[in-house]
Amino acid sequence: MTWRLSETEGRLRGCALALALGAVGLSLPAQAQGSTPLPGAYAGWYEAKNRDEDAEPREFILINYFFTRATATNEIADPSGLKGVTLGPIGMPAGSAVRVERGGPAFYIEQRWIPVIEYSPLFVDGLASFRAQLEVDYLWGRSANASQQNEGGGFNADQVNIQTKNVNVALYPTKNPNELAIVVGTQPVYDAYFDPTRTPLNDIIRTGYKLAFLGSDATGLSVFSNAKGHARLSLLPLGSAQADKALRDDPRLKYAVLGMADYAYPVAPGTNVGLSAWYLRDETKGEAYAFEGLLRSGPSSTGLPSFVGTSRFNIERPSGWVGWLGINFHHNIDFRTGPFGASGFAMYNGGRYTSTNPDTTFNREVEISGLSANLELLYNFGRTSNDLVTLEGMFSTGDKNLDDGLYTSAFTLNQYGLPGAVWFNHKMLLLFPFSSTANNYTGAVTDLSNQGFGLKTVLATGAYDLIPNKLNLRLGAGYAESTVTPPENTPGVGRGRVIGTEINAELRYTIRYLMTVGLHGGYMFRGNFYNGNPRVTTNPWAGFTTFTWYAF
Amino acid sequence: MKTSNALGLLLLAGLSTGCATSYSSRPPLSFQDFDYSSPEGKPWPLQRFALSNTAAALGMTRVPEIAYVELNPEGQRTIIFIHGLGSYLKFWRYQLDTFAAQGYRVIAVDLPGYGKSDKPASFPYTMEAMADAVHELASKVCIDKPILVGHSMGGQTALSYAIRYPDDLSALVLTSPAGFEKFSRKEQAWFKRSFSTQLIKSAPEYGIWGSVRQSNFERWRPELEWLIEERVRVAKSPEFDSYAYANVRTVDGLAHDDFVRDSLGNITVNTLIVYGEDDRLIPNPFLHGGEARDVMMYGHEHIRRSQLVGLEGCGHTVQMDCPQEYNEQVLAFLKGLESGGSGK
Repeated sequence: MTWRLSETEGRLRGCALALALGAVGLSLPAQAQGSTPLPGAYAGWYEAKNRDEDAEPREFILINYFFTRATATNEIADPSGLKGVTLGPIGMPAGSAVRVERGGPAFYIEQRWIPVIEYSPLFVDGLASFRAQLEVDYLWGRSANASQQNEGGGFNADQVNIQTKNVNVALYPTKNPNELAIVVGTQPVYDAYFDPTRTPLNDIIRTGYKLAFLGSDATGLSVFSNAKGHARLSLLPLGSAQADKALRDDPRLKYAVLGMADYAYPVAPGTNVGLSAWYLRDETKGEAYAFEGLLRSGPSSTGLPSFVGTSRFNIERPSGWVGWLGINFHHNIDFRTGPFGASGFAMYNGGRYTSTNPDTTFNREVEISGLSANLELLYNFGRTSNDLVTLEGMFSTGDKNLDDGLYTSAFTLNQYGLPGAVWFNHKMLLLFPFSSTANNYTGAVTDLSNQGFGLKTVLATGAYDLIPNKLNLRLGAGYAESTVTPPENTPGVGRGRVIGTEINAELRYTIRYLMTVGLHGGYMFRGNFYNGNPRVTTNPWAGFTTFTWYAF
Repeated sequence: MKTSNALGLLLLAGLSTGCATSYSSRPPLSFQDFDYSSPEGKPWPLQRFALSNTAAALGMTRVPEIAYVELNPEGQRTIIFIHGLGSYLKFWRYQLDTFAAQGYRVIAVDLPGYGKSDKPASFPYTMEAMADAVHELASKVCIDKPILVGHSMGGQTALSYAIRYPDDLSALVLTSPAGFEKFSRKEQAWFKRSFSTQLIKSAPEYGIWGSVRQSNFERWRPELEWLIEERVRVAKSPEFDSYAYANVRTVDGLAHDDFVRDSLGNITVNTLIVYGEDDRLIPNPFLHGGEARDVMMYGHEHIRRSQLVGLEGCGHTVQMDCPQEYNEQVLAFLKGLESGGSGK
């Protein structure tokens, strides 16, 4: 689960700029410093050119992200395969199989450590940077000496519990990363057009497509330029398989490859309008894995939808393509030019998968045609930018019949990842996955398509710094329903479209710069979407404490 | 028209009216080309002054010059206005003519490194060196003890002046002053390590909007947009390097000791501390958070003859954000001085 790694790096980079801006009000005392008289012509040169007292360039940067969460909830996970990792929508019978039941709540404590290193030797003079990131997750009381990732923390040392994250090199041919950056290797991959290795994640989750379509890691090549607007080109092999090895004795690899082209035009300072055209070509015939040996990827995967909340296509051994055409905008999301901010997107996805099994009894072909849209409005009413109210709406078309040859909802990269899209700017705790989590990323809706049934949601929050920049209270409410009526879970028990209504509250206290503790609580009134679902028999609730520290 | 279409058009219209003007495509602007004039467009007479004594004391080979504006030279009492970090004397645009019209002799100075003053790399850029520059100017051009009015860093400069030259001024007006907030040695070291000329020079236009409007103003008005334009355009001028370096050195200078904070008890003149209750920069939002009132109260409690006035709904650059309320408070204080009272 990659998205939270760059969160660390990105936020800290953003802080550096904020530091510069905030220093206008720096109120430090001082004393006189003496200078040595300079002889002759050297004095003139010195006054014009000397910058000896500037901050020293750094060639090695370590960013440390440490997070601990204690949770009490009546959402009880029973994950299969992915020990310690709970993903996907509540009420699914397989996969993470998160149930919501009366009785004693689940209680657990988990923690995460993500170190990020960036190394740019001074002798390369700004031409390149190397980055590497790891992730270590602990569940208290659970050992992981030999296997089972995302656990550990029990009695015994020598935990084997490290996820590889990003390992890449960024080349800056003009020595100006803003002009041109070429990122080669395993890298953060997001649906925003910004260079994720140099952009605060806080910006990325509020711009572009808000990680609703793509938010993970992949190995490949990306090129970014801010020279004339913002441009991104990416070529990312998402999966590969020896799809014809068994049937045709052909050991060659077949690939699912994603190509992305994005451009955003800066209309005004802080206001950008972007266009996107992405293309996914999948020749793996459904044989590539999202989780090696356990979950195949692609729209024919039988297991993946249970973990990520997508729809399974009624097709076998499919090859095909998906294209996306989207437009997005954001305006003044940091309130630098005024108190109003906004962002949003509209995305159309279309394509076709064709079965490569001539004897198939399933669909020979599935056409894709879906539309999604989002709009978020923000108003900064108080002294700090944490004093704000937000109103957000999200929409995706739904599919009334998931078994026919036409799929009419959103197609996200959750179809290829575990997860592959992690929309988490929604500010909900239960209706959608809570972002500050180590091992449990569950919610009522975990994919924009809502299992293919579509989504209509309205989210509203209000936040206020009780003590400016120290103590923040946020209250939120959200409502979600599917766009179409889903089929029955239990024969004879009709389901409705209302997924639920959530109310939540969060209180965060800043101990030191980038070090916070938080109290979070949410309650969801479940809707008739869960009628007849034996695994969601009561209303979900959850309470968390969090401790978060970004250190650099 | 369908409701959804109408809403979309309304949204687009709202966004278009809410968009900030971009100045990045306009030609470079030199510091010397800054329009130093009143809000009514009346140019201010600009003069230059060579800091001979200060340069000698600091061992500087070249004698730097500073720029200043003087209005109503016939005024009976002299007020010297000192700007804050990153700004220049034009930040007193709503004060100079107003105070001159009240009969005061008004002097506003561009500190070394800022505005139209020289920006020598060898100047120390401590508040004490800044105060020495102001003191030398005051010694040469003032016939009486001036009243010092300083904003933010200029407030700390004025404090340093008042502590070290207590007989050479008659009153202090500290405007959202720096110098009261406590920073630990490790916090100071972190600032020094993190603040660089590259950071200043690479600030995007949206970031400049943040550092100017968002950080300093609660009552932004379109008439203030010159603040953005001048900062954006001057960044493309050849002399911006020396300005950025002066900023870095100034922050370094700010970060080196607690002289002012530890010496507030030595201030003997009547002092007005006036600040915006909604200051977004004091206390430092990243390191400390909290209320500006608490920081200002520290100064008020340690300066014996001080008054504390907080202006509601006003930000850090209170003299421009809320000029009317600010001017009323300061003029009332000055009238009090004339009547022989404490300035109340």
